[in-house]
Amino acid sequence: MWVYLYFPYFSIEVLVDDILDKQPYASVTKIKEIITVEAANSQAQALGIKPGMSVQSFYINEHVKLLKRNQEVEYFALESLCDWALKFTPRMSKVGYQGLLLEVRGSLKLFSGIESLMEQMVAELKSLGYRPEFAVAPTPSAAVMLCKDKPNLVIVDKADLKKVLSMTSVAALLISYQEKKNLKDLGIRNLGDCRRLPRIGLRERLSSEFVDMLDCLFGDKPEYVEEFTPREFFESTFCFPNEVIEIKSVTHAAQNLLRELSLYLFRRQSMPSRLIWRLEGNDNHRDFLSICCDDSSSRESIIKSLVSYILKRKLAGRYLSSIRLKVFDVPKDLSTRMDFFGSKFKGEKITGYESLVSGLKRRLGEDAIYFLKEDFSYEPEDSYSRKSISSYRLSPRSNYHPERPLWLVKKPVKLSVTNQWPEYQGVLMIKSERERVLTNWWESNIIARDYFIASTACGRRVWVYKELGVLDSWYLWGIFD
Amino acid sequence: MKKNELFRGVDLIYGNTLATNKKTYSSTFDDLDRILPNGGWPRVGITEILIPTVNANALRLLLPALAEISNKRWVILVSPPYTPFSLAWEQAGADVSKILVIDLPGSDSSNRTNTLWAYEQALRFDDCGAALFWGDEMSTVELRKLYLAAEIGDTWGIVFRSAKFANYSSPASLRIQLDTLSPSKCHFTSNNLSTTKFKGTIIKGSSYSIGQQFLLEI
Repeated sequence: MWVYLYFPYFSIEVLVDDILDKQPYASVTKIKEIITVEAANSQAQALGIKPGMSVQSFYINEHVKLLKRNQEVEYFALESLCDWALKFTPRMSKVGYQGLLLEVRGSLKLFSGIESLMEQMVAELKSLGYRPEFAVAPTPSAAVMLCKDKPNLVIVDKADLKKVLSMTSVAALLISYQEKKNLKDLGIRNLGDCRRLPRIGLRERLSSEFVDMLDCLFGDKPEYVEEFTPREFFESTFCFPNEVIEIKSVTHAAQNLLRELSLYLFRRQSMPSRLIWRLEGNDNHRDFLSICCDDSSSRESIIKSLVSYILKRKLAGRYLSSIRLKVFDVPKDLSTRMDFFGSKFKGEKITGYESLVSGLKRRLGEDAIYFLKEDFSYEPEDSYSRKSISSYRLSPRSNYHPERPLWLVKKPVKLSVTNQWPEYQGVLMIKSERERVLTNWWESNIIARDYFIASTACGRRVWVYKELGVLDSWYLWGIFD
Repeated sequence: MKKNELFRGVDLIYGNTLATNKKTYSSTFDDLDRILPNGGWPRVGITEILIPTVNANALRLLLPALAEISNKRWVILVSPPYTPFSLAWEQAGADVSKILVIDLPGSDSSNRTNTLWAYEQALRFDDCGAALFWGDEMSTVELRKLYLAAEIGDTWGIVFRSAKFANYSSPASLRIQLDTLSPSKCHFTSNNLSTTKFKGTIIKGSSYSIGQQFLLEI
């Protein structure tokens, strides 16, 4: 079963992040001194700009952004998509500059069927910034042809494919204009008509290749598909449309490139020791930066190094046309297997509390790790139960307390009240005696509250309190389950 | 023909003999110990707890064992749904100075990766007795990596996931599904519990089998 993914706006999507915004975009290329539109997004098409038009033939609205097509960037982007697609199937092929053909028969069970698989693929591609069209068919050439003729069609069965193809117009065939005209001259309107004609006559009148192509389409003849060979090293480029280097745009570009790199490393199950960045100005001036990676390297730390390099070299504000990321030293030997989450998998224990915490702090920041606070205050603002790791010390256990919930919500939640009864997932049932808390009158922050254990309609136990002297002032603070 | 006669001379390995580590922590619930493989919570490997809502009393089920562990080794909570309340842990007998919480704000993809990474570090930490993780969308590959990390660190990894993943394959050494019962049917702290997968042997005398529902008063 073959899935064909076609990216009609690929030449724009590789250059612009979100082509869904209101801005009309068109990618252009120069052929024989004529600048021609390669692709146009829906906003541009609404202004009458269509692929194949020459730029001279239409009035260029000042809002339309014309982007110079960059086939090198497209090539790298398609390679990255192949890396991504390897999570669905190992058998795939690139079709031109903007299509991928995947054989997914063996993956159907794992992804719970073709519908679920396609849903996942399209959702993930959208999150990567692509808007694909697709077709599923039992033969590769049928998937490619149907994607352009009837996008998003799923045909699982060979008999269904034959029915659909028989009704398909010859205009959908991927043949030359002259060949289509010859077929029309013979009175052939659809592929079913072709198949009904005597094969020998068809071979003589058209060509043997044409008959073979029909056989491949219908699945009567095996088809050769050149399989994708994964690349041995990683290389990708991000082109800046406005060419002025700003920290924000470099960070964004670096994040995109690192996302592509992580797809590549996911396939290789590997981690390089060095990332090489190339910043290229429009005056062909190039700056190179090599960043070393180790166990605790994260995307954030890599981007931070890149940004500090730019600031140090005073590159901000200068013109920049592209940023390129290259990785050569990806280990080939799978026996030196790496960790899935980005660090080298040495199969070793982490020994000692200090080495664990220093690694965690380096990657996640100090705020992400904390101990439970031993002393308790009835004032929610004072008792987030957190104690930063820098103030860690051993302290003696406290004495008896009434039953307390396992969890505290981050900020007390004000509850709605009906007929003086608090509500949380329905009316709450009070399950415990009140626990009154009154601070001394001379203290600056006066607290007067009744605490209760209550139960929700579905049986969850919660910890609530009522502010005394304030009408209908109930708060949820803890959860027992 | 008896089973033993049928398979005589054939190289067969029974699933319940595959448990690599038979040491366990008692859950302190006798009824639960009776149905858990080898008579308690496993000391090493991943235990997956499938829950219908955020918690469904799942942590209360583990609390006595976690309290016991915290008196000897670290207990690490990764990405808990709320802030843990130290007094409740103390009441259960835990040493709160040995409880470490790792919590990253936000839920973007980089945080997810970082959280998984942090959990893997916790599992590989040799002085960590139990590492708890509240995750959801996790692939089999990710769970397998975590399982290996738990084996390396000699750690009991506990992963709380939504019950909707019950039909997904998992490399966890023990999978338990929890259902809270409606108050009309039962006392509100009761759980309907079933083990969907385990490595190890159920202690003798128990008539419990995989997938069988089991009512537990917590």
